[in-house]
Amino acid sequence: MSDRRHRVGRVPRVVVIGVGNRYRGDDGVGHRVIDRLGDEVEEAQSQAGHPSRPPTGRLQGTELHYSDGEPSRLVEQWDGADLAVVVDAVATGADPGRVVVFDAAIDDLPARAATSSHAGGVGEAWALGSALGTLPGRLLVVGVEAGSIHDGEGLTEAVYAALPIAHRLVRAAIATAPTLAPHPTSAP
Amino acid sequence: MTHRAPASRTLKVDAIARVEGEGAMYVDIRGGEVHDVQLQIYEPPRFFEAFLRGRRYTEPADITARICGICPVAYQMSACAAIEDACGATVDGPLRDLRRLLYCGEWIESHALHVHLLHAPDFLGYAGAVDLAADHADLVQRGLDIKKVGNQVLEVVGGRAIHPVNVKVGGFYRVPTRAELAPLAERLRWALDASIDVVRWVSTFEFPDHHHPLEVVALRHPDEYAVVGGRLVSDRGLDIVPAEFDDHVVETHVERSTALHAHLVERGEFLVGPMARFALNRSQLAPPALAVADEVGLGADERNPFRSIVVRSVEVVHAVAEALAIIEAYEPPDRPAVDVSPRAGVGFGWTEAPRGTLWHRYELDEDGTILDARIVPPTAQNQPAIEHDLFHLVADHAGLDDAALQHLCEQAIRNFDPCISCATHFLDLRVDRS
Repeated sequence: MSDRRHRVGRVPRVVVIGVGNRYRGDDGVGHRVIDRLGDEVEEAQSQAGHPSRPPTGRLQGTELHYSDGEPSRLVEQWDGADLAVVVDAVATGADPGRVVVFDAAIDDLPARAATSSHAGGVGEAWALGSALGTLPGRLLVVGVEAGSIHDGEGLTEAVYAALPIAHRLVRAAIATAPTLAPHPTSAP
Repeated sequence: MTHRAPASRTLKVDAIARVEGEGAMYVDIRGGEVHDVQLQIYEPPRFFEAFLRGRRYTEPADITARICGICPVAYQMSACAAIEDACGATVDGPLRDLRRLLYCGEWIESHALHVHLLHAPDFLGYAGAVDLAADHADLVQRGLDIKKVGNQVLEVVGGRAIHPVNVKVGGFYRVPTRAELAPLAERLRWALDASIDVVRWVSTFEFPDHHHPLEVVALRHPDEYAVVGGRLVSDRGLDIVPAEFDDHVVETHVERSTALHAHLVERGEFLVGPMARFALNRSQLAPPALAVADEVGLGADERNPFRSIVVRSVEVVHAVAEALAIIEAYEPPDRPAVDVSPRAGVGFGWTEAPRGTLWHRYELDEDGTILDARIVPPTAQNQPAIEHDLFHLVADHAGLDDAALQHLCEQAIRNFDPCISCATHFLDLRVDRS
């Protein structure tokens, strides 16, 4: 007997990873986005399947992770995902608070802003995953230009103002994750 | 192959890769003689010490876990031990076993990461893990799979893999059931065989001959390969309890570094970490770890830091076997934590982080507010030892050209697996031969 899910298409596995350290100023922006998404995912899960509730997009099935950016951990967290969205503080030289989405299939991935002890981050993770054959189906990086990575909690004003933008972009990426083709069924 | 060195020269390296953090190194060679070697470290834990003042006694377990993404459990365990000491509480039985289990997960994860992604490329002629994976994906993937088993232990016992959230003063917020630990045992059984194969693999690497040993210092426990408690001992007679640490280990500021430099009083540099633990406590390794150490000829007298990759791999076998034994004997405790009521006083605690002994000290007021905090991470203790080692390494190989000498120094630094996020960030290397 075939699985109904196979006949109607497979729900994509979506993973969102917030990279950084919330005790290093703007390097905490990735974790702050995950904080906000965590509440929404919880709410979406509680509403899932309720006919009177509005659709929750892909949220109810979205996996959320915090990360320090250590490459092998990123590879592990996105392993098997159809879509991985990484939110991170970046240093591209733009004005602090600017939010840019990078598609790993098209763009060069940005440098991390933080003086992370586990430097390399998403770029090295992408290279490592590529060598190991463990890349996600698609990888998007929502990069928020950092203003300061000082010791201590708290975002700078510009990055704090960018939080809702980064959050909306992640939500949009999750919502547009396509329904995938059914798994090939086994021969009877 | 070496060649004749000029009388004086300057060599600068702007970034040493594959160390857990950030810092700098300066080498001064004059007239062909090594004049000075300095390791320069920028140290976030000092910020955390200030940050902890005024916080509740219940908070360091969560706050100090943020110092490092690779060894958060070490910070949690040492913090809890020190605060419980200050409050007169004792955590033993199954709760202590669960702490050891959690710690095993961290050792597995941290050591597997260093062995496969940071250290092995040095011995196999690769620039880094990505290049190694391109040619030997199976070996790197095996390492990552072992590391993942460590992550899974952290997730089940600690609540999540990075910065575990289930640890509290007195024990845990929630303890796992036997059924929850059962899948871990399955994965650990695979990891036991895999990690033994890793020891056999790394023991075949070619290692430079390099022996300039220092006093080795580690915790020792009468009943186990010490991780969460015991006395601090050395191969030259040190034998102290946590409250005596300050009397025997002095920290001094040096201008070039925000990390304090630790020395043993009237004795000087010392070494903590896997090499020290192995040297002092080898006979207490779990039987599979002891057996494979014997098989590859790794004795307690091993002092070549380049062979630390073999020692670290043996410690992975030990941590896996230890975790399995704890799970197989596990009976859930009656309650997830013992009560710990605050009182005015000072407490001391230490545990064996993957990179060595991690000491905490807290002073509390009667309400449990933290008046003062001190943290001495293993990398800060090893910093003078690394300089000592590099001094002799450079002296022995001063004839190498700059690029080769730089590469050798980078390898030598990685021998110590400096968790520079505990003590610093990235490493710049500058060799001055002027």
